[in-house]
Amino acid sequence: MDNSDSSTSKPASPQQKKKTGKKTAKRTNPKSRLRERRFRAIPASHGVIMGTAIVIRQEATPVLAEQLPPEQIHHELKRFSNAVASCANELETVLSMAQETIPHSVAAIIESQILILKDFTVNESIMHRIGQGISAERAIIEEFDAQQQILYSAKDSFLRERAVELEHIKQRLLAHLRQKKLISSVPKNSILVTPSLTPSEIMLYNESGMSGFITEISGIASHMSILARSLHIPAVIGLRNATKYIDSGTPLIVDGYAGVIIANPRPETVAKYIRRKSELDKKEQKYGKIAKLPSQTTDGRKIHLHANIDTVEDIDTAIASGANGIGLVRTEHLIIKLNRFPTEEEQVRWYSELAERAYPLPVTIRAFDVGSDKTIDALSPEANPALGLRGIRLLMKHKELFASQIRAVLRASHHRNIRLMLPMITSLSELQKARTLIEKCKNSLRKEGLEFDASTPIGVMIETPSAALMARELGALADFFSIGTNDLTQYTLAADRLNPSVANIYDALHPAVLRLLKLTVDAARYHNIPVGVCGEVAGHAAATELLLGLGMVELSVVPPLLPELKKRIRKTSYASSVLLANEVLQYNSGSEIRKRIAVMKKK
Amino acid sequence: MIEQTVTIRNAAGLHTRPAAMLVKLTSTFRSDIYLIRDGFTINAKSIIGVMTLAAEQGSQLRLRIDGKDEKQALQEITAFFESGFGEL
Repeated sequence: MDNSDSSTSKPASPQQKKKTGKKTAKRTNPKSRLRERRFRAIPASHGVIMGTAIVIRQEATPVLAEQLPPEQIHHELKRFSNAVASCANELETVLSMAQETIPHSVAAIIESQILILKDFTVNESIMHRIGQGISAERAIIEEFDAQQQILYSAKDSFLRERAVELEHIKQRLLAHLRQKKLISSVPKNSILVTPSLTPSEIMLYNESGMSGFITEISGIASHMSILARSLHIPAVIGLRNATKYIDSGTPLIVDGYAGVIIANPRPETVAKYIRRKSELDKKEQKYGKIAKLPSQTTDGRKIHLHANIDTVEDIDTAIASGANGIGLVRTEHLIIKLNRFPTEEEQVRWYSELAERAYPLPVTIRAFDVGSDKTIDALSPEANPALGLRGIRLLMKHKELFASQIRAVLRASHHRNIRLMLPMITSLSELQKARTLIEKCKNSLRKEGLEFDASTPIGVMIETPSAALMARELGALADFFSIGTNDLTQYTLAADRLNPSVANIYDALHPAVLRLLKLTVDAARYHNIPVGVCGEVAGHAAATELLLGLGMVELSVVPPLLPELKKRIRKTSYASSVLLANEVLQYNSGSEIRKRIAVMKKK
Repeated sequence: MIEQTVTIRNAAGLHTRPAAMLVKLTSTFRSDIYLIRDGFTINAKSIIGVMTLAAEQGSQLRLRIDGKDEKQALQEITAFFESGFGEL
């Protein structure tokens, strides 16, 4: 994976600033125009493409007429109702196009825009303004601005993004007032660079030749981004001043996975991206078919197939391999990389990048699980680290450090696709204390006016026998369970998984371990919360059917194992896996269980 | 005239799609239908009005219906809110 993006300039790249000094359109030195430039913004829709920029700049706000003479009011009212009619007509045309090619949810977006356009209260209010001698343009702008103000003041980012929808409709309406139809035809392989795009514009441009787009406006949950994803159009959004930095005709590479844009790429860069694209295409060819198929059993039980990852880049592989979420982000990776605890700000940046890159898929962030075999310099060595100060124990001892992580996770949660997971819980009081701290963090964020998802799910790692045995009690305070079978096995059987002398004792399919899994699932069902496995056993071919039969609804494995795991899930019947699990739970040795599974597999 | 309190149950709140569905539903009734939040009253047949309520998950709204088919309207509209706009 390409890691050189660290040198990439931020959206408002300082090196571009000199250009804005003089407004007179002096042709820039051709050499500098052709210099390779990299920009980094928000990846909104996956895929890598190369193409030519078509820059569409926002129309200037119309000149607002002074008070209209009374005799012109009637004409102005007519102009307004004509504009509404032709704008609605345009949207209805797009809608009829849309219904054949895109999911119902997207068609519903355009339908709602038609409703907005025809909204009688707003139209009445606009006509009332015109009746007082205000021009149609100004009446539309004033009324929409007033409505937008209300939405912009909402606490909720979802609702604030709705203000953008109103802006789109306002702009379309103004364009129709000036009798400007949409320019919808662009040459093949065009990459649109524009302040923002409406769903209908995306539909129309996609029909002609647009292969990707870059916008100045952001919002990965906006209709623009949702539509790009459902049409598989690579898109990078939120690049401020994109239309200033990029000229029409500029060759561009858009990396919708990483959120990277390269203008005037050097031949070496092009070669590199051709390689990257062909690698991704190969993966797509290899796994594409299986990656796109739903992850469910032959009898229709849906299984969330998640990926365990360490780095932001792992997300691309996970998605290409068909993950429906990230089941485990090992945040220790950040400590190892920095060789110290990261600051809150560093974490916010990292978690936000994870959330944005994976969006709309959920991302499960596990709180720092340091200690045990993952020792770091910052900690004093212990004689028996696996049974020492690790996971939640260490976090609660260094509360300020834990609080900074909780705050960072929450601050990255406003897209509502983040879950937080607590490692090494062994008692109810640990979970209670952790939740109290989380509430404190939420309150402090509220006080500071920082945005977050107050309903961010808090999950418990079930990786000690005590947690499994107490799952009924823990479940009352947990939003989900994730079973770490590696540690659960090692603690249940008192066998170090890294010690070859006891390797024959360490067995994730030992009846004792399976019974603990069963207890955990029963408790999860009692509380109606999701339960899954993120340990290595989730990826074992022999164990898939058994885990499904035990009632797991999430399996999380390293990305390379995803396609095979999904194939196995899709071959399994949930009904017969339940029978298998019930039978196997009666057995009294791991070897017996393995034999039984092997027989099952041969059949 | 009848009134009842309704709660936003889905995670995304009363965003565009449910707002559109709500407006389509309210428009099928002849009664005047209003939603009130923190003293702010909007016409529930206006999609922009509904959107500007900016009602997120958990928020409570007062539903006021006045007209001949108010009972039927109340029943169907509260059921729609109860279902979390089909997004639960």
